Amino acid sequence: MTMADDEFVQFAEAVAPRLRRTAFLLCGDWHAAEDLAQTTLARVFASWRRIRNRDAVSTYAMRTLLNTYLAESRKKRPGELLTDRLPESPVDPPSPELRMAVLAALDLLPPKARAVVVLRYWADLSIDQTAELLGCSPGNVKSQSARALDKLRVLLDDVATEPSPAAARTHVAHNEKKARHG
Amino acid sequence: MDELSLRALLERATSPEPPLGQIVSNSLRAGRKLRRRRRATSAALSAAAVVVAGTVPALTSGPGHKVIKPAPAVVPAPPAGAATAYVATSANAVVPISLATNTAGTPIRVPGVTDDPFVPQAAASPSGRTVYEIGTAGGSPTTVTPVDTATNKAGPAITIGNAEPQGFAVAPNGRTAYLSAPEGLFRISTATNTASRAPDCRFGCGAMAFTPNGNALYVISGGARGARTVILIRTASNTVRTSIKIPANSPGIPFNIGITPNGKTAYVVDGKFEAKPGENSVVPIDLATNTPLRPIKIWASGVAAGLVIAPDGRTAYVLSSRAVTPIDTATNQAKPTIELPGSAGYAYFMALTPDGKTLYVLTPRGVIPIRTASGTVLPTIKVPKLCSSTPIAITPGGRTIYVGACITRTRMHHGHKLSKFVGGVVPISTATNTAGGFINVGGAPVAITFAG
Repeated sequence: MTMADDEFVQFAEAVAPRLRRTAFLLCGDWHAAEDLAQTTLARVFASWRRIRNRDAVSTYAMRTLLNTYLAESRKKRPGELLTDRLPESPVDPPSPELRMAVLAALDLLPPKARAVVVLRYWADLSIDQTAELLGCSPGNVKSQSARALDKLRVLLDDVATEPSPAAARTHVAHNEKKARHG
Repeated sequence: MDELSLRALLERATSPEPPLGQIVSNSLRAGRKLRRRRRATSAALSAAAVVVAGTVPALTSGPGHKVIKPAPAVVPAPPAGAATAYVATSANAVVPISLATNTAGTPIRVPGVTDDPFVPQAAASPSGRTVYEIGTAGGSPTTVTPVDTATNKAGPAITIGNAEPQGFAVAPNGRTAYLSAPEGLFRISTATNTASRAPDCRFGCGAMAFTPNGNALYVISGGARGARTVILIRTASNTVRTSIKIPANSPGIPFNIGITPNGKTAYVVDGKFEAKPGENSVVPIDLATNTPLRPIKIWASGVAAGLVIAPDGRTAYVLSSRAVTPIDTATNQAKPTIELPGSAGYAYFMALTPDGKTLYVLTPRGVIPIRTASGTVLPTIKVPKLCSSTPIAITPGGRTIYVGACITRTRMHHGHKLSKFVGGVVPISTATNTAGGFINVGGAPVAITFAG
């Protein structure tokens, strides 16, 4: 391996877990998240010699991830179909599980709003940093995040008290209807 | 639901997390493929550009894709009597700008300027008689083109070959210049304008610095898992004298090297991606014995890569993403970190006035002056239409700073909106810390140097 390859491997090993987790919150599926993270890192590697001696290379990776995600979400609107029917199993697992509820709620956000939520409230980026990554104005980030938060509030309101993923899913689907029909 | 509980919900949504697959090795494989494909396309494009350039000027004059800004390289002091700023532009030109009148002269055509400001693009000889433009445009071999500053004419391009430049330095006596790249080290004789291979760095060559007397060149070799050494090359004989191992207790990537004006100490910036406070360090090297001293910890987070050494040699300034750390070169201790304003965004470049009193840090929001004596951060100087990736350069007298500016002008044409990209530079007066008027240079500015 050359020097550039070595540096890339060190960088990739440092950021891969975080990239994949961010990708997961963006797409809601671990397999797709792994693909997204991998495509991102491959693109970063292809430009590595150009960017490696630079500051903020992890921001470059994050921007590449967002671009890849937004480009793919433009092609198709992936994600699971939500249903208000009860799942087959009538027995709820003993411990409350919010994962599905949160992901289902995120799924209802437009891709860019979802990216704003993940960057602002999960990756802890500032409004300016988020705007820089998404290539939009800070004002746009503010309005997107306010709208997304409003929607998430309706969808996830008191979901924390829901006893099971099944119920949580149903709850989100129910709240979604509420949100749609005012 | 408040922001904190949303964060907690998002956190819980990512667990449990399945084990990480072969992401890194797979991406390395896929990235290699992608790079080969890009190279093939860029070669085809540059062949096509020969045909269409002239009819479609927009193809060669755009600012290009948004890219991450470079870390500042150690730039040797420009010739004291320089009267002209030379701006390399993506429109394959070097544009002279008179420092007295701030007016742009006729562009000098040169080959291979990319819109990529991450590679070294231009450097002046210490005498100021020559400006070297480094051409790296996709598909063709790297070239170095000397521009005679007396006549503002470009000489024949010197072909270097397959190399992606990481550094370019002209010896203090002006007789030789070196170009470093992962592919190796290349030496240019400025008398004959010919290039030859210099000793190899084994793991590729990175940043480099000449000693003030020009007898020795220190070149960084090796990446994270490579040798992590600094190679000392005797410039007279063009041979490797020794290689200095960077201590293993300083586990980053040696990004940058600078040498104090008295030639006694070299400072190697050992940066680490995603660094937490204390994970970056600077390794001083005693040049009398060529031994590394105890690494100095940098307490700012984010990768440290930028380095500027004050002209009086008393302080070295290290730039991390959002902070500057001054290092006292007498004690080799880090002084308190100077944090940039939170809204500034990532800082990429800095320039120090020749009197060492003010450090100017370039950020996406403008240029931030810092009083070095007190560490006081002054209000940001707003620059209209600052390019997303731009060089910053300070004149030898220290009166003016030039930064790149990128403007898009739109006009209506038969009901269609036509946009035209205009690149230029904006002068900033260091006396008043205010930006002056836009100087059009015809293409995206990628490097600024002073000569003539």
